[in-house]
Amino acid sequence: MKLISKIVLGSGLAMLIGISATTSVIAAGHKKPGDFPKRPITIIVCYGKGGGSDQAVAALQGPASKIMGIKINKVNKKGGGGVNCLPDFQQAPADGYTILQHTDTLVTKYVGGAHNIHPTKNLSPIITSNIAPTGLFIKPDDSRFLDGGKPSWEKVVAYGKKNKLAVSNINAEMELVTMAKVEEFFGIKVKQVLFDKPAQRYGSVIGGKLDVLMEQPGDVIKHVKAGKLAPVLAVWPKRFGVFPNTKAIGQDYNIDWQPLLRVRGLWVKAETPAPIKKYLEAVFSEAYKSEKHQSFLKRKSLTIVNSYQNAADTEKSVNDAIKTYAKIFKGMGRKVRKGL
Amino acid sequence: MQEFLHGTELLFTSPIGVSIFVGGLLGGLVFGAIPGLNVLTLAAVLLPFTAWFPAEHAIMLYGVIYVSGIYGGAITAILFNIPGSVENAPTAFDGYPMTKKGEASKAIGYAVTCSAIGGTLSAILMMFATEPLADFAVSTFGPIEITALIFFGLTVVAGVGSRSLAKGWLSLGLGLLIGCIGNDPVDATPRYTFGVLYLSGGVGFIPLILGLFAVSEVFIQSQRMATGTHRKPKISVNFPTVSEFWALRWAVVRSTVIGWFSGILPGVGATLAAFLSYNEAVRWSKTPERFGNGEPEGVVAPETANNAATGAAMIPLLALGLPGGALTAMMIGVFNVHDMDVGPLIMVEAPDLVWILFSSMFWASLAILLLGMVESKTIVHLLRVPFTLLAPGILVFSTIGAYALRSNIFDILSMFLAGIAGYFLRKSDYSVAAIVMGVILGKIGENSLAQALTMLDFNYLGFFQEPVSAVLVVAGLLTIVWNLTRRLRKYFGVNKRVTS
Repeated sequence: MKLISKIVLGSGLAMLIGISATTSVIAAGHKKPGDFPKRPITIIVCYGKGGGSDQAVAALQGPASKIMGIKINKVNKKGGGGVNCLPDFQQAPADGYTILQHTDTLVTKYVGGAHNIHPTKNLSPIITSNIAPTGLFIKPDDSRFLDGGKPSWEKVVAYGKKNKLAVSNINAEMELVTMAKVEEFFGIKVKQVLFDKPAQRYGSVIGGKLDVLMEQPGDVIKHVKAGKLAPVLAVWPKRFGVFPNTKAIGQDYNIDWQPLLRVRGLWVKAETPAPIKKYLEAVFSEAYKSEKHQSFLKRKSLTIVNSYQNAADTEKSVNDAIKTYAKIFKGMGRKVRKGL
Repeated sequence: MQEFLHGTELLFTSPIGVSIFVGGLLGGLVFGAIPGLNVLTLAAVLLPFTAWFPAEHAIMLYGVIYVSGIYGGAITAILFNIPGSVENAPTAFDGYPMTKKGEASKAIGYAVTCSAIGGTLSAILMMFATEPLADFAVSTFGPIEITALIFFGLTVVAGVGSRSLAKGWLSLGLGLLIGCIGNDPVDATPRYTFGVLYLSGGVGFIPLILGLFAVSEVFIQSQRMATGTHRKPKISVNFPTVSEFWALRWAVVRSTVIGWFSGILPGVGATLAAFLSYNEAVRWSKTPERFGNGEPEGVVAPETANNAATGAAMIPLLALGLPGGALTAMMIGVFNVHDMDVGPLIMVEAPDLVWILFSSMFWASLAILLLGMVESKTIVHLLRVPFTLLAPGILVFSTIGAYALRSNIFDILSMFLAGIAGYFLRKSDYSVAAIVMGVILGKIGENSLAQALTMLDFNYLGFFQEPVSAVLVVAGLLTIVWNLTRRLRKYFGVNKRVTS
């Protein structure tokens, strides 16, 4: 009994020591605006746990928490292609304690009229922390798509000309438009099956239920290394350094198209006091540069393009993206918000 | 076996490891029991601190809290009709009626023993068949099969907890309808939101179950107090006997298998395991009308299955890097904190880490049995608290639980509205169990249905072209027909007797 009580006491103490040690580490160098933050901050992630967005926030969470000396909570609210998280964010006060992590989908869904939150008028960016191009992946032992035992995009195209290629994709316009462009460039027939949960998205191709997966290389590199997925096309002007044998649309097929990128950033409400916005930008910029986060970017191959933009550059990029997507949508005959 | 012993040695020879094991076990039990503060909350709170632990201890901690947290929610579900987590909601369907019959201790005994059995068998399965099972799961179950599985599950729901089949179907329909409130999961089209921002996010599930179960129960008991018909639950400390367990052996086996299956399906996990297992218990029972009124099998089935899903959920995570549920997805973050990527290579690159996880989950399941046996004799005495003190406590506890999840005042409002609705529905013999199952299965099923229909080019007959889905859909249809004929036969039999 004594032994049990010692163990219980020990475990309780271990937790207390951990908590107090973490909360006492407050990095210097950032002037706090008043007493902000005096309680934990919540980051709302608009996609499922374990996916690229979730991992991007998790990688910033620790370093930023250390800098501010407070806890950062992460809440995942998936669904509706990244729109179903917005009501929760809108209901939170504009005090900097609730941060939204979102992707380029925030822009595309606004352009398409799925929500009415202007990404730079109603919201203020803090930083951009991920910018990544996209690729296509197959099951490595799918004999339909192999040539001499190696994954072949030509074989995929040949199959896609005769049959509808079932593509596992996320419900985000960046990927949907990119896949539609690939369909157009190569003259193939495609049906896109959309998943919010990354595990189901990847599992459907690993398990052979669907033919091709569209994803950013860093999000699936572990599956590629483990031999469960194989890259078959880089939707990028040049071959990816991480997959040098995989053909790219520009370098290998002379397709002159500026590919769309997966962009992930952090946002607060526009009415948030300016000193808090500045403080959060400084904190998350430092967290981005931390050794821990840089090692994450490297491991996830998020270094193909410079992944960082400060608040001002993000705002400019987002305003440009609104115009670009409006143009693309109009060109494709898709619905575009009035006035764009 | 050697690897398992090595994992056990790593776990118990380090004082820090033992402390973390015990801390995780107790933490999971406490967080699992508090509504709104489930095991996921604890996992999220602990995530930043795992950077301070060695990798094997951090991963082990998550395995332990998963096992104990899933069980923890059963206690409040049984004693007060307050499921600590969504996975424990079906446990309340029969666990609380058992408490009202003075069998709380037995209900806890069934829950704890079956949680331990489910968890232990699951841990053993995880040790021996991780890779082949993971491959089997992803190659056999895609969106088409999962949709068929949900349909199969829904077909039996109508028979649970209501006096008439029609009221059962109406309850299920209401549940499905509530699940539709909010932006749709594919295109974010608003449904039944009436321009109200709160509704566009959908009705929160925790406030809903707290309202339908706990708040409505307080209203019903208060009315009984006012009319002088309230009876204090009898308290006994009898643990179920061996022969009582033996009588339920097939329910345990069936629920373990269902738990395994649900656990190894990527993105599905323990919630579906508990609900499907409860449904199957009803489907296979010779006395399905007893469910919802304190049938021990109604406790055994979900508690075995949700714990069987814990170890199984590790299988796709470790073998393929695909998380089976929310907590296993969070474990990806723990691996990342230690600069590792989870997936098939982990078994080769860090076998110590994998085996300490396996052995800790095995021992945690057995430890639950010990803790639970003590709980079944002690915690039931909470029922001695007079209802006049207990009722406000339950309401305060539920209010905190509803608010804690999103810090949204509307969640409290939703809970009380659900409580009022639950009161009238239960008074009119509608089934709140069927409503809850409609919401949860409907939400999971809607996504799969959208994906399946895209794959099938919107041809509904395609469900009959895939062998697994065809079997499940046909079995579901046969269940509907069987239920209808059984009820009709009973109805006409009674009428005939009345006429003669």
